[in-house]
Amino acid sequence: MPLDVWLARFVALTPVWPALGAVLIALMLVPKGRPAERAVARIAWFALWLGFMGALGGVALRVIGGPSDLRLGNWYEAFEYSFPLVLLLDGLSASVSLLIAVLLLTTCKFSVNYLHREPGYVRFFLLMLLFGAGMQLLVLAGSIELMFIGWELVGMTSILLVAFFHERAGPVQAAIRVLVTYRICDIGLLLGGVWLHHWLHTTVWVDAFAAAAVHAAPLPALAVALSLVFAAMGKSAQFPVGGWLPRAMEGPTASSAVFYGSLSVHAGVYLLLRAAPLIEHSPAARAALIVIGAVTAVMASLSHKVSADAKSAAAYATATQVGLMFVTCGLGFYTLATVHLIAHATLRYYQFLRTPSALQDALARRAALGRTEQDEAAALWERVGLRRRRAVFRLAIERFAVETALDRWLTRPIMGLSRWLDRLENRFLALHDRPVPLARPATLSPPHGSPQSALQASSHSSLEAKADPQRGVEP
Amino acid sequence: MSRLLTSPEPDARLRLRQTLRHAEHYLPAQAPLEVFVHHNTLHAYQHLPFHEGVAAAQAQLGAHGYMPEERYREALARGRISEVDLEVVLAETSYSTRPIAAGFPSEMTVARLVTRHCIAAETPADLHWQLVEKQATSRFAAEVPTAARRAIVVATDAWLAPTLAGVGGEGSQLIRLADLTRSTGKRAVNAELARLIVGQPEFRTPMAELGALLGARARPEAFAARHEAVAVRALWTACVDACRHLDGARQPGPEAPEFHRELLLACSDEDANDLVHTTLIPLCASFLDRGQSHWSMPGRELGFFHAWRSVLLAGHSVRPGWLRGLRRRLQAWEERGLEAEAVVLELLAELGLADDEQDLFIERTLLQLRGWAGMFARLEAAPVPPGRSGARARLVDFLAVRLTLDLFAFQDIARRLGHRGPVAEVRALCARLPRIAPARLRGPHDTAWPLFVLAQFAGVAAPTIRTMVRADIDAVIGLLDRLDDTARQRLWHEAYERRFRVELLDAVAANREYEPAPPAEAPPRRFQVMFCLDDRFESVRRHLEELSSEVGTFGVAGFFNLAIAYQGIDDPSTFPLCPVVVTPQHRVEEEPHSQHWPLAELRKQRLHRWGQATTLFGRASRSLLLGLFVSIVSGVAAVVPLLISVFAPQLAGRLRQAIRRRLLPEPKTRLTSARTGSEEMAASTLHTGFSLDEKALRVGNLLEDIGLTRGFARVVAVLGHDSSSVNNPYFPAYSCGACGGRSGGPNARLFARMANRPEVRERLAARGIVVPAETVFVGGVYNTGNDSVRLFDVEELPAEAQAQLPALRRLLAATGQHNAHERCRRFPTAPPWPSYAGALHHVEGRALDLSQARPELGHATNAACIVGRRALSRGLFLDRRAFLVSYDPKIDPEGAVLERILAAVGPVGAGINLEYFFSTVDNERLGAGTKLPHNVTGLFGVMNGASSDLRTGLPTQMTEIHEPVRMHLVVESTPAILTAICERRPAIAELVRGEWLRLAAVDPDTGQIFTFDARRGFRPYSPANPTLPAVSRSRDWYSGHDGFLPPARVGGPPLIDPRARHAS
Repeated sequence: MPLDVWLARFVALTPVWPALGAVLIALMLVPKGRPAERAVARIAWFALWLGFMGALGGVALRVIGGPSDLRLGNWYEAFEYSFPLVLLLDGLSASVSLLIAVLLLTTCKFSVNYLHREPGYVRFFLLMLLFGAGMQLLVLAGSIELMFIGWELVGMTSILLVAFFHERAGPVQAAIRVLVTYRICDIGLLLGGVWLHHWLHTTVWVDAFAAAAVHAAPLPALAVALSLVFAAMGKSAQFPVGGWLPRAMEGPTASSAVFYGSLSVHAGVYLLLRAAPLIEHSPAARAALIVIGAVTAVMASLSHKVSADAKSAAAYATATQVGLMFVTCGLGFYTLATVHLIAHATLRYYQFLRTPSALQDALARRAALGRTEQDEAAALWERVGLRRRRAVFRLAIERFAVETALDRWLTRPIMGLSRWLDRLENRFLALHDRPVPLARPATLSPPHGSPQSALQASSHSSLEAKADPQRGVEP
Repeated sequence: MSRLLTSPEPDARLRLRQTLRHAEHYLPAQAPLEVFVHHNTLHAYQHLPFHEGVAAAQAQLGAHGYMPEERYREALARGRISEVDLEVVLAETSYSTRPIAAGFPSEMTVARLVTRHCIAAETPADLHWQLVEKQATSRFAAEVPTAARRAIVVATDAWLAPTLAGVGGEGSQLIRLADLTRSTGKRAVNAELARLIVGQPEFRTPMAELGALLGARARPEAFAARHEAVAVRALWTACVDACRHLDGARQPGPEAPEFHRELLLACSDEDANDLVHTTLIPLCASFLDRGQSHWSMPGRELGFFHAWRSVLLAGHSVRPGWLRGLRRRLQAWEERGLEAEAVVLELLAELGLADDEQDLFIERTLLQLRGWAGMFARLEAAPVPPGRSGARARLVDFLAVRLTLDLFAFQDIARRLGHRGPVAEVRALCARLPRIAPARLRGPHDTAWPLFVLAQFAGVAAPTIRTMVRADIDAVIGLLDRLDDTARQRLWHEAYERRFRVELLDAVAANREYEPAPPAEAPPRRFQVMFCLDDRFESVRRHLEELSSEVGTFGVAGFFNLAIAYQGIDDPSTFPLCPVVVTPQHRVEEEPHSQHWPLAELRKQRLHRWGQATTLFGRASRSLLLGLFVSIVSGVAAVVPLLISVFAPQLAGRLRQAIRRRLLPEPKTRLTSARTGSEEMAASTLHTGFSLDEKALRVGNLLEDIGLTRGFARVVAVLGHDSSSVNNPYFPAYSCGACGGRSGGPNARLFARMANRPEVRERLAARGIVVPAETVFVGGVYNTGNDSVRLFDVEELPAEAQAQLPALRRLLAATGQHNAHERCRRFPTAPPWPSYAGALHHVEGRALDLSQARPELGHATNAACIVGRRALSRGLFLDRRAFLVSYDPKIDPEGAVLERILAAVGPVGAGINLEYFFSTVDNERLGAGTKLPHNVTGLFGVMNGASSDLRTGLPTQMTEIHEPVRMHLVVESTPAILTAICERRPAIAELVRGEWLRLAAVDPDTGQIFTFDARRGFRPYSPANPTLPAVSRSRDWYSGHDGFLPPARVGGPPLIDPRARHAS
């Protein structure tokens, strides 16, 4: 068989290696006791290294001009529908895939030391590998369905890593916030796939691009484009669903860097670039992209200016540039957006890894500049009139009240409604059958002598009665 | 309402101020990160004895003061605590040894059993698990010894016998009992037996329960086989019956005070803090920010409350649902011209707080965000000089904002509970509503459980329990309540510390056999080296002395008695290089030599340009449109530094240094230490340099302190302490604590320079300290991060002294390698069997590695402090656990020098030690938790993630290997002198008498050791184990071990019992 076919098969395995690594690590968790850190790190390193080779192979394949549309057959077929296993390896996916592989290898190397002795060490590597698999799948997928699998893997691992320190309440609350945003916005990707099926009867990117050019129709195009844009907004923390991004900084620095500094947060932009030929058919969607991106960029950049902590500042700086990428996508400068994505992901990743240095850096800068006070930018700010400064500061520190508005006009009414319904239900129940009597244990428990009753008897179940005095077990 | 409108009484304000001053004590006193200072985390409780202080902190802050019990039990299992330690500790308690009741053991035995086997009340879930799943009521607990089991079984059988005999007849009563269960005519006896053994079960008849206990059918042989189960169940039933009268009583333990937040949380499960903190934390961060954000909060010079109010009243925004009415309120306050204090008073009244509740309420309110409130209080009490933010931080401002937000949050939650009236009524409302969590009341089983387990271990059977009168039962239950978690942990902890103390003191005693006190006129050594007294230099000094017998070492506080405000050539301003409690009065600058002025200018220019470039880049890469271009252009280039610094950190570090050296010229510099004129100036001003008298005084005092007044070597090196690390917000906590968390290099350099001055030497000679003319002092700095040494101003020394230096440098370099080798054993990520060079390579890498959360382990091993001649500790392997302070009691008969030393070393050492102690035992509440999610905030602190309380104390990565042991201060002096010093110095007395540190004295002449405890004062100590394992070099002792090691003799003849040697 010719070289390029072999190479293509190897490239197709790129997402598989990290997944296999994750499975291996998961298997190590089955016997009792903690697996050795070194073993876990070696497996992760090896898996990511193979993934890196695969990504390199992808680039090589592009260079030698090998096939870009890799069809590996169908997972299953049903009436009028098949789930194709298809990869799309063009310049965009090959380069982003390489970026992912490099950054994951870097994260692995970094985390071996950084997470040393952490109780969640194994969990971290497991999730990072799964994330890597998801990310590679997302990038290389040749159809929406396959991409969706990667997309969900990325989302779930993000959420679990935000909640990495789950013994505290803060990270868990933040993770729930991310979860809700992702869940809602992922509907977009799902809907996009469904619409695409209705419109062009295929979700394979290459086929869809070709078909869309032929069957141009404004309404389905708008629906598909808007769905995909909505999905991209959630993953890339755009206005108005971007409030989760700074909150997601609860995990270890390394995961914040790879997820919210570089890879995961750019997945939305990648989706836009991938589906660009489809979105192009809808000017309204492109206009929406420009507006959303611009609003996000301006808000995030102002929020960044007043952020007093290193990680939030970095998060808003990221959101600013990702917003600009949305704008460039909307304007149709796809190459610019691609280059911007890759360059920005790398730079921000490095800056995120160095957030613990903020104090050392600031002291060094001050020493070099020979001043103890704030710098020119701050001085410029001080020159603005006090009234205006206060107004701008208020908007920026309240993050333009986007979350407040959502909370006040969306979340609270919904919560209020559900509370009201709950009360209503209780009232109905009360009407139907006044105090819901808890059946007496004697009638509940099976006949004497059965193991169940022996258990209950020796338990002296008054314990439960103690725990909840209102229930009253005893008659 | 009219009362609210009139301005508050002046005495109310006065009271509020007092309340705040009082509440402040309970807030963390941590300064902004750049001036990290170790201090006792529970400083507020230091006036109490240690254990009482810990208990008070537990009640007030909810913080634990000891390790979890399992850790101590695990320490017992691996021999870190011995049974002897526990026995000795118990023997020193005041429990009585008289039996509590007939057949029931004494208080002392109960305390022993309870501690040893962790007998305690269980949580409802645990108890359920024990009773139901583990069937704990029909079998003995696993650890119960055989003798106790047999005693209980025998006693129970004997007790049941008469009941059975009542049925009449001969033969085995057990079989008879089994017969009885089937006999219909003997119901009464039957029921009596069942009542005694199983009591009143809830779901079946006693007979059925007894049947179940004996097996499905009460066959005689089944009963005979189950008499252990019968005995245990009878015991359980007896215990439950005995405790029946306590059913429904309040559980022991302090009730937490309940105000609005706690009540609303209990009734609605909604936490007002969730609402308040998300709003409050970013505001606090912005207000206190010292240069992280580009745009600071406007109007910070007016105080937090004012700035916050003006910001909220400016412009337009969407108001959060729960802040309904805030704007109107703020406007009203503004119109009335109320400031923070008046607002607090008004809010306190509005919340409906009685006068006597206010203190407690304010304290609880401030403790909700301890870190942030503490930072406000800290900055108010002592503004930090460098990087002033212009913010006027006052605690009362913080309280005013916090209470305002609290008020609205309470209102909002109360509204959802159906309350529309004033907030003052919220407490009354909550009192009427049912609570989600049940009240803490005793149940029949949770009280009986510890009694039941105790009885098993004590071999007490059901009849004994049943014959005990209620008063005895109550006495036992009361004792069990008193022996709660804290009381048991306290006993465990004392045993844990005793083991360390015994090992340390035994080693010191035994070492005396090897290292007799030096004769008065010993031949001078070739080199003498002064180090910082830091515990990390214990190993450095040991290795140096191991490598060459020609070296004598000294330990002294790393600022070398020179409290200076120092400005290096690269520093923007002066920084105090001295312990934080001292205010420097001398300003010292680093100046380039006159012929190097141009170089210095060039350096300054280039640094400035570099600073501008990085600032601009940092700004631009994060800004909107510039960011687009910058990130595209530099993003691709960022791959190179990223990959190098992650994959080859050492290469990256070396490259960075090479570039720095290439671009930044290094001008020769000197320190401005001289001041003409010797007259004393006003104490408040900052002098330039030191006058001749001051120099001579300081040099002379230091030499006297360390006992170096004769026998000077040709070269005396003075090495300050520094530690380098990257990507580490806690970097000042690793560096020299005696220099405010900076490098002690300048102090050492200055000291050497002063001591080399002929005029200074003249005055020293007049004082009786004759420094030979050929002796030179050379300043330097030892970096404990990468074990490197740098010497200063070498070229200014006379040629013959310079000729000595290569040998010294070689020696110090080898010491660095050996020290790195010893450090590597504690790093699991280090190569397992490194060579000396490989070990040095590894520690150098750690100091340059971005991913390294533990560049070094800091003071993680500190546990002791030895003040005395080197002979006391020379050749002792102390595992980097001891601060070593040089002091010669022979030249200080009155203890004046010792007093000076202890006044500095006592509080500082105890501060370091206790901060590590409490950060270790409760890393979540008193420490900073793991470093990984830490987020540098406003350049003054760290939060977890994007919004949390400021984390104070030390992170897990600094404390994880620490053994929490109070500092054992071993002083070579007599108890009489030490007692006198305590009389004169209340600061030391507080620590010693409160046992916040454990004092021991070693008589300089006889070597007799005395230990001090608060109850009995000094007592002579006789070594438990006179032998000391001996090895020829440190490496032989530590190789292959990664945990703490007991002391050993290094360099002595191998494994000799000194007592045996003595006898021969």
